[in-house]
Order: sequence, then structure tokens, then C-alpha cells
Amino acid sequence: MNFEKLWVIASDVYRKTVKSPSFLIGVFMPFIVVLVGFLIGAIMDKGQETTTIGIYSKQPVLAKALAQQKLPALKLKQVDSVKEAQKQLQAEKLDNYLVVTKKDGELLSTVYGEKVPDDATMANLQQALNSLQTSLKAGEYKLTSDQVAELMQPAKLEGKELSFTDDGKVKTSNDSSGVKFALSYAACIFTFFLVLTYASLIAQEIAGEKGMRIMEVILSSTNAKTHFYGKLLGVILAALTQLVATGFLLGVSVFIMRDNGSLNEMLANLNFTGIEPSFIILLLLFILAGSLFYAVLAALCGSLVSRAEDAPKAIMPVTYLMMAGYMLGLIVATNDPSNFIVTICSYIPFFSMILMPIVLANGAGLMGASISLVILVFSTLVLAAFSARMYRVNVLVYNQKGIWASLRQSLTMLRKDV
Amino acid sequence: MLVVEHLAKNFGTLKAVQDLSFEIKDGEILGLVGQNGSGKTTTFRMLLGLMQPTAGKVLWDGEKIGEKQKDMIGYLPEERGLYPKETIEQQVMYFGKLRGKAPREIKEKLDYWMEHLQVKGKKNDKIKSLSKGNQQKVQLITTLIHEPKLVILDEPFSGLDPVNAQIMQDAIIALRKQGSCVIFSSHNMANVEQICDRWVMIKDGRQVLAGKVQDIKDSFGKIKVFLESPLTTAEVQAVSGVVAVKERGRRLEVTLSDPAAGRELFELATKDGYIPTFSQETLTLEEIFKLKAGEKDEL
Repeated sequence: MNFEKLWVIASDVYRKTVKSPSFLIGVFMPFIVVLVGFLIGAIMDKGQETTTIGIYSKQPVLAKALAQQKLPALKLKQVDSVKEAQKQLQAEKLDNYLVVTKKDGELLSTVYGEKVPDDATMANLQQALNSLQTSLKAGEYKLTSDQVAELMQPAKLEGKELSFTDDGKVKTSNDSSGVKFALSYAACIFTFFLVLTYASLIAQEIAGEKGMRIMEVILSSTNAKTHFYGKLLGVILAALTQLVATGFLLGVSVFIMRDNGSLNEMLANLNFTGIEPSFIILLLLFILAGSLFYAVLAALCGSLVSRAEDAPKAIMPVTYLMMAGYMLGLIVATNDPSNFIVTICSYIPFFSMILMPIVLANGAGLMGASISLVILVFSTLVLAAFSARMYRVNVLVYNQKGIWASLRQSLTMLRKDV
Repeated sequence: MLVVEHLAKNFGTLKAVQDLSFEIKDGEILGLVGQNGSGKTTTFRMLLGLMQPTAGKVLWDGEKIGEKQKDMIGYLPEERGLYPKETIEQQVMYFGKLRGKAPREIKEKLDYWMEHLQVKGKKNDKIKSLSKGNQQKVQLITTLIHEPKLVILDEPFSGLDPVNAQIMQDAIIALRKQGSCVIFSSHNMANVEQICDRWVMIKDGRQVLAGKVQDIKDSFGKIKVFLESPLTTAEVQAVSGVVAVKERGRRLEVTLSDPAAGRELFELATKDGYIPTFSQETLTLEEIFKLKAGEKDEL
């Protein structure tokens, strides 16, 4: 292998790939999807009108105390009489009105209106009334504000993950399955599109070079192995760039939106503390090794056809395999991660890069994942070595009878060591 | 110097090339001719190291062609193709670097070649925006940018208009001046005749003729006579040693079995004195090619 020429080929592939529209789409797509999601969310938030509710009580103190409470999407307004409330309701200044009475130290309230408010509004009102009643009771029992706070303290409930170390000790950690699951799910989708993009790119390029006889010129400059590995190196560098670019953009968008309430709320709900670095590293390794595996396969398929137009047909088997893994991952594994077929397939190189992260997120051991990764890497190396040998012969075979005929012809030539 | 010794290539039972031997000295041009499917491309692929010969060897300056020798080869394939979305410069740069040239050197040479071959376009024009003729010129540049010592051109004249064919011919002759070995295949015998020093003809993978152009022509002797005289076709045909007579306007094209038969024909034609034409010539390469190929209609 000539490393100088390997680099010439790799950097050429890299330059072309990074400039291609599919690369740019690949980098920006996740953000476009998220952005559209946020926009739709924002539009829906806007569309939700604030419900204005009038509060009347024979004891104006109660009405005043209630009106002072701040509730989401709800405006509470003290009114002086039921008549006044009805008038305002008719004038559509109020959506509903609430009559609060106090009997035997308990609050009895009724909401009136042309329509009873929706469940969310009712729940909010209920909460407001609850806290009002609590503070009234607290006053009656002469409780200090600290005591009230103590009373209001909800009971704690949390989940802990249990794992067993090799020496039989029990280890607990915070529950992070939700985040892990989301990450592996995202990785599954990301890998799928990454692989599809690069598989078609590399197959197209090789078939095109073969069809235009550029291949013969290249192979008279350097050997097939250097060309094959150069192509792969270029594609892997491009995939890495996409990973880094996506990560960078993700960081930038989180930074820009750091003041966004709903994002903070979402992040606060996620438990990142239980995400071990090993999980993230395994995830990235699976993405990389998986992309490489499929890139090798796509390159091999691409070298079997004689024209760029035939490349999509050539990588059809690759696409189907990928699709099968994706379906298994998204449909079966997400619902039933311990499914027998999923477990088996998470060790098979064609599917493991998609399935193993999901299985791992659902509590499978690191050991299993590492074994699966080793199998994937090893198969990639074997496949690459075999493909490089095939490639040398393939690129000189111009068989019009289809991919399988080409494959047979190549194998025969390989055996006779042409 | 390129030496090819008893080169052979079998694909299963098919003998694509058999016992091919020739040599090209530095500063010589060799034409490889043969009909379609005669084994030219297979021969080129073996010279390029893309295929391993079944038997025989290819030696460059006494060594087998390996990775080390690849930087001094320039190859123009029969079916032309470049990356359509690339610019002229990117394209030439890529192929140049693959032959081990430094980018700076390639840049300098590219300017020279663009002007020399009269490429219409700028260096950062995309290939697909160029006319076919200009694309072919760019491909020739990619073939020659690294100043190859062994230049292999597969049908370099096919698809070229007369002006571009002349440019191509000049480029090949310039290579000879530089001392490069050039081997090219062609269907056009006129090109071969004009610029080749040596000639190899293959038929069904076998070498049927090989040697210096003049030697080959001489080996067939002067068996062609162009005649303009009072003699009729029938009278000429009656002369012993005349194989065929064709009427070409007022002239007759006579094929002889033996150059010596020309003397008898001359005496018969000039028995009444002056005649406008009697020209006894060697066969043209095209005629030799047709004769050897055994198929007069094709070409």
C-alpha cells in the first residue's frame, strides 16, 4: 500500500463528499426537524388562549386571595357580584366565573359558564383552591410558615438501577434509562440515515469511475487496495466530520436556547448523571464501526456494476439489510428490548450497530455490548480484506448480465488469480 | 525501453492474447492494430499491470512493472471519461498527484498544456461545461501532466475532428522528441502510417505482423501498380502474375503476385511509347491490414 496515494484518494473523496448536498442535508437535517418541532410547539402555545375566570365570594378576602394566585394560561379576576360576573360573561370579558363559599372551614366552589372549562383548567383551579384551603386551615391551627412548608412537602419517589458486579456485589445508580433510551433511539435513526447516505455516495462514485473508465487510469497509477482503502478512509473521515458537526451544532443550539423555558424544563427532567461515559463511547463506536461496515459493503456492491446509473440497484441488498435492522430497532426493540430475535440480532454485524445501543439502553450488560462490538469490528476487517481482493478483479469486469453474474465472474477470476 | 516477451493471457479456455513479443525503444512510437476483440485492450491491461499475464513478461528497463514504475506511465483509455462535476484544475491535480507529482509542479505544467493544446476554458471551469473536444484535450492533459516515460493511448484519434486529430498527432510526436516510449492503438491506418516507427498487428490474440513500418511494407514488395495506358482491363488481366485488376476512373489498380511481374506489365503498356501513369508501389498499411485481417469490408 502506498500511503501518499492513499491520502490523495482519501482527501479527494473527503472533499467531494463534504461538498455534496447530501452531506449538508445530513448535517442540518436533525436541526431542521427539531426546529420545525419547536415552531409547531410555539404556534400551538400561542394558539392556546388564556382563560379568564371571574371569582366571586361573599367573603371578598377569599376572592382576593385566589385572584392573586398565578396560574399557567389562566387569568383570575375578582368580581363584585354574581350579576356583574354574568354581565361580563355575556360581554365575553369572562370565559367562566367561580363562586367560592366557605362552609364549616371548607371551601365549596362551583364554576359557571357557557362551557365548563377543560380538564387542564379545572385541575389548575383545583390546585389553586387546594392551596388556598391549606393556608386557611394553617391559619386556623396557628401554624408557622415553616410548618406549612413542611406540610406541603410531597413524598419522595425515585427509581434506582440495580446492577451486579462480577464479584456479586450489588451496585445501584440513578435511573437514566429514559435518557439512554432516547440517545440510542436517536443514534438508531442517525446511523440509518448516515449509512444510507454514505452507502449510496460511495457506490455511485465507484460505479461511475468504473463506467467512465477512470478506474483503469487510477489503477494504472496505484493498486486497487490503495484505492479501495483510500475511498473508505475518505468516507469515514466524512462520517466523522458529520458526527462532529452535528455535535457542535447541537451544542450551539443548546447554548442559544439556554433561556428557553421549555428546553430547560425538558433538560431538568432528564437524568444525565447516570449516563456512563462508556455508554456514550460505545454508542459512538457502534455508529462508526457500523458505518464503516456498510461502507465496505456498498463499495463492494458498487464495484460490481458498470455504470453509475446501476449503483442504486447494486446497493439494494445493502439498503434492505439496513432497513431490516432499522425496523427491528424501531418497532420490535423499542417495545420489547429483551425479545429473543432482537437479542440474537444485536450480535450479528449487519444489525448490531442499530440494535445493540437500544438493547444496551435497556439494561443489557457492557460485556455483551463489547463482545458485539468486537464481532462487528472483526467482521468489518475481514469483509474489508476480502472486498479489497474482490475489488481488484471487479473493477475490470464489465458484465452486462447483472450483479450476480458479475459476482460469479469475479469469483472465478479471483480463484484463477487473474 | 519497453520489452514484451511471449506475452499470453487466457480467460478459461479463451486465448485472448498469445505469444506477443515486441519492443519499444526510448523515443519510438509503436502502433498496435487489430480488429475489435483482437486482444488490444487485454494487452494494454497487462502492460499497465491491471492484469497478470498467463505467460510471458513485460519489462521496463529490464524490470517488471510494479508500483514503483506506475508513476512513469501515462494512460489514455479508449472510452473517455472525467468527473463531470470537477473543475479542470481539480481533475488534473488529482491524476497528477496520483502519479506522484507535487501540486506546485502540476499547476505550472497545467498552464503550459492548456495553452499548448488550445483548451477553450478556464482552469476552474467544470468539466461538464466543456465541449466534447475540449474534454478530450483535458483528458490528454491528465495523461501527460506527469511527463510519463511510457505512454499508452487506446484509440487516441477516435471521435476527434481533423483539427483536434492534428493536435493529438503533434502531441504524440512531441512525446517522441522528449524520448518517451509511446504505444497506441488505432483503427485509422493513416495515423499509424504517418507517425509510427514500429507496427504490431494482432488478430484473434495472435501477433501476425511486427516490425518497423518500412520493413513490413518492403516485405510485401511492390505488388501494386497504378496504370493509365491504352491497355484494357482484360488485356492487363491476361498478363501472367496479375492477381486482380480494379478500375479507378481512367486508371487501373493492378495487384501482382510478384513484384517482378511489373516489368512485363510495363513493357506491354509502353509498347507504343508514352503513357501518363505507371507507378509500382508497396501496399499501404491499410491494405496490408485488410489483407491480413482477411475481411475487406470491415474498417
